[in-house]
Amino acid sequence: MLTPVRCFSCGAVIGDKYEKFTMLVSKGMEPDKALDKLGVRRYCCRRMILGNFEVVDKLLPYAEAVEALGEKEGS
Amino acid sequence: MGEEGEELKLAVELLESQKGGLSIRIDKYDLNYANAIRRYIMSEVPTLAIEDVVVVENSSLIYDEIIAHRLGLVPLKTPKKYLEQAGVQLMMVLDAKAEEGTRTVYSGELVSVEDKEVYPISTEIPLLKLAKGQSIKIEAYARLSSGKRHSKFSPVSKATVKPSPLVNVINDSTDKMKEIVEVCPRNVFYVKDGKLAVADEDACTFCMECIKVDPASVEIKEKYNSYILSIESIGQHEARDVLMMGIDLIQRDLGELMEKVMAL
Repeated sequence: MLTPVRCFSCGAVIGDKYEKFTMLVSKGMEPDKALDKLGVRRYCCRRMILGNFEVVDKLLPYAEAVEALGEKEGS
Repeated sequence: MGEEGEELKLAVELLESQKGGLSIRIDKYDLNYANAIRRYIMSEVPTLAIEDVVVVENSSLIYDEIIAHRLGLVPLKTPKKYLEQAGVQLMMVLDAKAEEGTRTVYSGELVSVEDKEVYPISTEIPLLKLAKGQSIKIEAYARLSSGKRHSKFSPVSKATVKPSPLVNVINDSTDKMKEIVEVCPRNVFYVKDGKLAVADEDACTFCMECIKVDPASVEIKEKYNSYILSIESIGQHEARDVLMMGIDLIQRDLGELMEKVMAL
């Protein structure tokens, strides 16, 4: 659903780096260079960011549509 | 202990001290003791983390349990005054509403009610996403505990002990020098004036890839009773404090054992 807060293997905080990573990649930076720039060195942490997909972004439009229909209760 | 005739004097050298990271070399010391320090750092040094969560209101897409779990993983700055207070409980509050449109709730919005010195180390961890009109209201209770209870309480991510590597170039004009430089994942070697040389001996991880390329030209050994202890702090405490607390806790536990043995 959301970016994991910690790396599953080592426990380092990586949750705050996913958004920065996607921003750098969308600007045309190579993913490996972007990870180096963010200081993510170990491959356990690197795979957390590289392999992440934000499923919430696919679900949020439904909640927004419900809100637009005027239903106050949300989902 | 040391080899025969060798002076038994402990020597400590600071190899690396970066923001959050610390690496020291301990000479004339046993692996068992160095590893004990490492394990105490990982599982005994106490830190604060959210342990109980009361969900007052949650109309978001994310389930209560997932939010509670994510809150628990957010590292909290742990002031030293709480270290001796085993049962300390601090209330933190997360109150967010998406009024204008879809938005992300970050860890920065989690605020301590009782003590402003306790705060999330990173303020940019996404906790959940809210669509327009959704809201979240949470009371979270931070408690003091250690890594052996749950790894969220561990003050370090990386904590390693490895022997000090001794990298020797036997034949510095080998025709395979370019391959050796390329095959090494930690860039231990480089070519200087057409000759193979060692750039960073301590970086070696004993993967032996260079030996596979040319067994006759390079030699990798472990230095006797010399170990490199490296830790990387998550942020609850400074890396240096984590190391000192780890050593301190071993002393405390050994002292307790001593008292028990004396009472026999």
